[in-house]
Amino acid sequence: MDPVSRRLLKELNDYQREAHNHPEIIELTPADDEDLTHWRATIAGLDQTPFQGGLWNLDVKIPHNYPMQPPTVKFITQICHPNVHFKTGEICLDLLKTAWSPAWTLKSTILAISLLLSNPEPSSPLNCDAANLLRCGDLVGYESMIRMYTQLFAMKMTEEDQ
Amino acid sequence: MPNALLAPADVHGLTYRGFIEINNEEHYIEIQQVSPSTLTGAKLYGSPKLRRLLHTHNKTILQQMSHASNIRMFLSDLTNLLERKSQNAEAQEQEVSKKVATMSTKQYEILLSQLNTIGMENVVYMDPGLKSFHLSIRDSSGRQHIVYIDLPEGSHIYPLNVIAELPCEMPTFSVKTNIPTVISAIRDILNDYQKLFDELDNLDANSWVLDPVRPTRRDTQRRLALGHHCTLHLEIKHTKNPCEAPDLQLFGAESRIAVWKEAINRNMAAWDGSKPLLDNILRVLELPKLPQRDNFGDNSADVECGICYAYHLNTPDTSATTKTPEKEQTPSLICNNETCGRAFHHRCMYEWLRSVPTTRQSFDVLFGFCPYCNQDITSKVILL
Repeated sequence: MDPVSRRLLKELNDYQREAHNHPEIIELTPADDEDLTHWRATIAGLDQTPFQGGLWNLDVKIPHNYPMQPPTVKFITQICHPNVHFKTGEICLDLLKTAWSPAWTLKSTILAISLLLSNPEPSSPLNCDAANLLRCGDLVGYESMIRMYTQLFAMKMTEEDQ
Repeated sequence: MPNALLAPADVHGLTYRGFIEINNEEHYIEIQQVSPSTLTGAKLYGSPKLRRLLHTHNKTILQQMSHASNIRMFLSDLTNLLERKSQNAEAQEQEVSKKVATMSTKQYEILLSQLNTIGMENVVYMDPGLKSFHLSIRDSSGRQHIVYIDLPEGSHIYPLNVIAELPCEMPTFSVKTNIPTVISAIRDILNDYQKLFDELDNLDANSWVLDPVRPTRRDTQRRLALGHHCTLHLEIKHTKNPCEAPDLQLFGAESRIAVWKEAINRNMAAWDGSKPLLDNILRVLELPKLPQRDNFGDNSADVECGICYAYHLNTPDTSATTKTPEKEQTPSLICNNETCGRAFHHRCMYEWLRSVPTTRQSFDVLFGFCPYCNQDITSKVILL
């Protein structure tokens, strides 16, 4: 087995053993049994935030020289957030680019993304409209917009369930 | 043309049917020419057996067709080719049968009687040609050992090629030594080393052996985990007297192993050869017990490389072709930050530092930061 798969298998085992410690990660698993370099993840919006109640699917692609290079993560489910591109789902997070180190794992990366939701960084926006609301200090407007898009895009599953 | 019988089969004289004789065997053949003057482009039909014979010769036959001036010449070429071929095949067959020449019935009887002497229940494996055996031996303490015996190629039983996991050199057997003699000689040697096996089994059961991954009876050295990326390497010098003080060597972050180093210096003189190996090691290191492998893997991060998450750096291309020194196969580069102390493979750290733009290089040393604690860390440049 090559070193990359070996490390990924270990990460998978570690995550599954401690999955109960991270209720905000609904799912983190390889997309199919054959290919360990493509994972999918689902995160839940934290309570007490405008993202509450939403579920977002993420696509995780692992480079061949992982963990020297960070994984490529993007949102599949559409999301309105200052640091996520509204159309492509691209994420602006230093950890996914310059601040990466092999000490990070897929689990901690996904956790960091879930924390990014409630801690936006409007100074490096990918979604200028959302960031501008924050920069103007219009918290009420910002939160109600987030809540609306969360209901529109990220709560479909629960509606169907009902 | 003695060996072909052909008759025209149509009014234009284009198609001929008949038989050709190859090695006293007649094969049906039909030739359909495109034009009466040439054989080029003609089609050949024949019995299934003939087709099998022709199967590998398509190119030669096409050549023969374009060269032959008439059907007679072509057919005699074809017969020659096929007769040559079938003779070759026969010669090859004979050669093959020589190679797998089986032993005579007498020799099988000798072999079987030898196996019966040691007991058929001790034969763990034998290959279908009765050329290779795995035999099980129980030593005086009931431990199982496997002896691998291969018979020489050809039709002989002797000399036997014997392989067994022994803590000493394999004894040399004379040419005609039979299987029961070999087995009893090896059992005697194994019984001589009972004390060594007892001590090592006791040690293995009460420690976390990192290397060798699966200790065999041949291995007299062990690498034990001490926790916090520190390891103890010990090699038993006197295999007949295993409780004598072995060579002890500590690996790990200087600050961590300093305590144990001092303890060893203090206590080594008091090593008691009459007490079990494990007890002595614990006493010398002043430890209540050695860390054990945790099956849930919670403390495995303690010994693994912080980058590739493995202990042995055994990528197929590094272990076989380029000789990575043994020291660099295991995580021996330790972060000097006491609160971090993570271990890394030199190769992994080099790969990481190389991929970071902030890393500086001076001659063959890379200066960068530990991926875990961001403190300074250095790595040698490894030429891949």
